[in-house]
Amino acid sequence: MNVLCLLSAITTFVLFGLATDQHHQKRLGTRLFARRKKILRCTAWLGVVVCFVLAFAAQGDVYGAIFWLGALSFGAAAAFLFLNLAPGGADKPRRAK
Amino acid sequence: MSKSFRQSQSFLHTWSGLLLGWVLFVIFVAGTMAFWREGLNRWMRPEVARIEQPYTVLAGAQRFLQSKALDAKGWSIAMPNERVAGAQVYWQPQPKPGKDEGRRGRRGRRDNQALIGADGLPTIARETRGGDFFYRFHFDLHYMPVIWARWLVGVAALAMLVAILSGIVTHKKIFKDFFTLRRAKGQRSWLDGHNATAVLTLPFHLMITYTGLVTLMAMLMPWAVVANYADPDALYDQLFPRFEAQERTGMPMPLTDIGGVVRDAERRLDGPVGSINVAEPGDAAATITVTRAASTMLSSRTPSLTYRGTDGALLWQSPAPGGASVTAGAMIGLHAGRFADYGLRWLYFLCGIGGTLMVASGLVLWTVKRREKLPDPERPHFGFRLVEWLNIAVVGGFPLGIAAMFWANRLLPLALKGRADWEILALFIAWGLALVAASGLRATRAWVVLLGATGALLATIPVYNLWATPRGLVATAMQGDFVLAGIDCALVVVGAGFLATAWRVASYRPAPKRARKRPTAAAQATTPGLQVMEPAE
Repeated sequence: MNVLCLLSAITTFVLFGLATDQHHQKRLGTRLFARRKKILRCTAWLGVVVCFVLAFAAQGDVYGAIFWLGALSFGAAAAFLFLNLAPGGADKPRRAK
Repeated sequence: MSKSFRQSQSFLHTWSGLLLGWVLFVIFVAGTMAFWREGLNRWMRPEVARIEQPYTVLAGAQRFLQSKALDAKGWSIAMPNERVAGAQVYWQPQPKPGKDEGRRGRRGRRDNQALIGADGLPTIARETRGGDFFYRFHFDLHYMPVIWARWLVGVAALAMLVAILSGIVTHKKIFKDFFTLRRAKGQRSWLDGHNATAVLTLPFHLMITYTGLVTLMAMLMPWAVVANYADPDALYDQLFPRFEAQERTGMPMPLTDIGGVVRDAERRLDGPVGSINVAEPGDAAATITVTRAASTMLSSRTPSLTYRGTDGALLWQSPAPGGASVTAGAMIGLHAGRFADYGLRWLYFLCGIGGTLMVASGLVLWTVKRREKLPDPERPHFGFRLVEWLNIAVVGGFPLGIAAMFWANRLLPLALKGRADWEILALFIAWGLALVAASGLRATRAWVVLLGATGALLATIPVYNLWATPRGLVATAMQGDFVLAGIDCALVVVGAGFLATAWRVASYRPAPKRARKRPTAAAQATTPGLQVMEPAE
């Protein structure tokens, strides 16, 4: 459950990152249009809620909140490092379908 | 929000972060390491085996104390478990008539202690402060009176809180810039790195700074205590209630089995026991006080029970704490993170590293930003040279000192008198040498030398452990002792990080300066936010 919580936090922040013009274009090679941005952000916020539920399920009601914030920080840092430092990504923008 | 307000916050952020930044850096480093205090206690005593049978060790501790100090004033036993390096036992001799019964010095305590190993027998381990040194150092510092150190640390924590809050106000695009890292862009890259380490773990930074101040609140804001308690001991008794010790009767009586008392206490307290104190052992008035382990509760103010020493009957239990006491205990517990299991402890540790990098990058950013504006970079003004010198000496020097301390722990002769003090001295000697290097070498070379030496020293200790101690990485991994294995792995990773940073600094070549066009008045007018200062400006 702990691992699931951390994975959901990482996924959440990768989605938040992909909802920015710069990282979306770099990683997916397509321009980010408003509709897709909204979908990515909504899914990411859903991920925050899922992470919250998993954290409380994993650590109980006293430590769950602490673990949730720790997991979100971990997910944010992991996504930040991945989006900025991981090699790869498209060079030229393509039109989103 | 007016522009001038943000600028004033930017000014506040810069100077509140800088003036005590070097103290904050060592506090953050030591505090981050203290999250693995018990693990480091074990790692720095590699000859002590991991405890598998706590009650066997506890019985051995009772046997040892009964043979060694049956007529003592009191015993103290740290409840053995798999996290600790043996069961540490202390005894307090009966006070001599006519002598002050007050606090004994550290030396007195040192002469009256022993370590009970995993087999239940007294064990000889190397003398070291272990992880306890980092725990104490991060609020008591060293080589200075404790009260001065705590005031210094308290003021530094206040400055940190101001820096964090003013940094949030200054950073106007906190969420827009959340994932931004402009690489190889000089000052911009440093700014992005500083912002990232600050923002990504912002909840931790706010929590650890605020709760750190709470741990020192009675000292920083004593007025509530002064106004309500004429006698400071009365407050202490109210905060930490305890069973009133009984006078020794002089009638010898055997002590009941402490293990049985602990089992009963664990059932009543609904959790494992952390410490056991025996008053007047071997006497009819003997009592056994058992306190729940702080590692099993969020609050650091743990409940306790007192039993009669002769038959194990329950005499007293601590009253339920009030709301204020629980709140303070929870905040202190949140700060220390003793409750955290290994997963949560890693998160604490990683957030602590983030905080350390935030402070370090903020300090370096101050010089990076101003270097570009120096009229003659070859001859910077005194203030610039002082900050740069302190940055190298502290940010580069303190980790080198820690690496030297770890090596001293491994290499100093086991029989050396005052060995624990020599380990600490090794830290300060290496740190002093770093200060000399920062004074004598050019800045870039000094950074490379210090970071490279730290990386090499840290990364090679696990290799030394492999053949010189019974707790090498392979052995601990095979035994499933993932705390010791994790410390060795962390040393390799952190050491590699220092080496990579040294290599980056050594191979860095600043891009040639491009002539910049002066912006026209019209362009200034149409560029929004041009005059708004960035964080750490």
